Amino acid sequence: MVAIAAHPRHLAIALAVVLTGCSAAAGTGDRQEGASITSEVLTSEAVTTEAPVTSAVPDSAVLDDATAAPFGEALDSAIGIPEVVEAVAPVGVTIPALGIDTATVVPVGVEPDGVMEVPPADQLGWYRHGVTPGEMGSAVVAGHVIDPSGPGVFRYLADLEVGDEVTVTDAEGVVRRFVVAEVELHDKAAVPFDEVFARSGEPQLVLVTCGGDWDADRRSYRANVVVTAVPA
Amino acid sequence: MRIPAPLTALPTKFVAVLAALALSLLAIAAPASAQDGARIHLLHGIPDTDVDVVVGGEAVISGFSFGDTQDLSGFAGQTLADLQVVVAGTDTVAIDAGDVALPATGNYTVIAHLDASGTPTLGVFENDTSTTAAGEGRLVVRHTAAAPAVDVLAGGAPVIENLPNGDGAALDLAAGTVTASVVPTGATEPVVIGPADLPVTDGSSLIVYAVGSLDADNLTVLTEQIDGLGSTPTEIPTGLAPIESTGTTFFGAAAATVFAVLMGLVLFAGGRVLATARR
Repeated sequence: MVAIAAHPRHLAIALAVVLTGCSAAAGTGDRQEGASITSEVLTSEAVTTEAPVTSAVPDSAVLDDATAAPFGEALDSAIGIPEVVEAVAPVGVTIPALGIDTATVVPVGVEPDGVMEVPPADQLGWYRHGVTPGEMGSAVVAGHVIDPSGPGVFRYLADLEVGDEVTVTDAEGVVRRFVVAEVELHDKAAVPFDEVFARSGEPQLVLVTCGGDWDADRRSYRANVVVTAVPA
Repeated sequence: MRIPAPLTALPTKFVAVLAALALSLLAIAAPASAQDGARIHLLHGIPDTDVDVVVGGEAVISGFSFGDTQDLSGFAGQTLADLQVVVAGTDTVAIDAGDVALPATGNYTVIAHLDASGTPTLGVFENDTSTTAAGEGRLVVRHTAAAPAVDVLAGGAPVIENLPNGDGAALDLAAGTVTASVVPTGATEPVVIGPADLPVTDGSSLIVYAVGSLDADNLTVLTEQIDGLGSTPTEIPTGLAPIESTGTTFFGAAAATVFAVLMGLVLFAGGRVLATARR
């Protein structure tokens, strides 16, 4: 108990969190760190060939007066290649209510089996394939509550309350302020990933860690703590 | 008339050879019941050749130029009557396609382009809109240029080999930047297109068309992008190890605390029991 009595507000739930805390076992090696691909990655089996479409004609209505309306819609020219847009990554998260002062944030991706990478417990991971904090959609920052080296940055995440402030600093020094709008505990089988990782909708910042009981059979905790914050 | 299958054998009559643009639309069996319709884009992939598109005797697109893209999704499931393509601003018919039926559903790109020998023709490609894995995007390369079969090199190694005019190939790749170039099949030079940095974006399909003519020295690329194919991670594993496997200082202290509390309760209860028994 003494070892984790770092924050007075959380003393009451400290024991409970100890019992449900997460440990860091996940690596952080992404499949590909956004670099040029290599032949090793691209085998011929990975290539899907396609040929021009050839098939029969369906029954359909005949359009013989095309002058009544514009003939479709002119879109942007197809000339050229889309620019490679590098996101300005978040590098720090500060949550005064939890005593978190500029925790280091690193970009993370997914493991080969499709689970999100999570960095060591003294860091937070920003899902780099998704939304950047402040952009439209849902930016995701996850962290362990605990690992073998001690409490994680998100040790007390579940204690956040609606209205608490979260600030995110990006690599260019821009600071964005958010306030907590919702604190939820989702069973792992029922985490609304489509919402957590939404690519559209109003900007929001979603902070995620582990919660619930340890499931020895599945060797996993039973729940995720999901904190949704909106721009202040 | 209806366009007989296969499309590659369309009865296109090239009335004009100069600047002829073989354009007709696609004819694909598709269920007419679907209400969400189709996504059908028309692409102009022949450099230096402006055309007008005529339906039912009326010009419906005027001055359609290289790289122009028209969204014909609104005509999904309909037949375009007596479709013709004429050299822009003239009555010179480049192609007389007759009635052209558009599919009711699906995702297609129709591109007017040159065949391997430099004759204008039409390519109809169905776009793969299947979901991409979390962290991956799709790269599609289509050979629609007047050039022999090609290889596509990425990172110096061939990733797509012996792609003939009229065909395409698709790859799902980790999101990032791919530096790719197009070379004649079996060779590493001359580089006919590129090298170019292609963004592979999570959940997006980047479709790259090689267009133009090797002989005319105007090979280049057109691109289109289809978004919204992505999927999310399947889990956020912020805890993968049981508490007992992490028995270092922190958990050691925690476990000791729990143990002490439990022992205290046992001793307390035991004391109560003993005290009761003594009465």
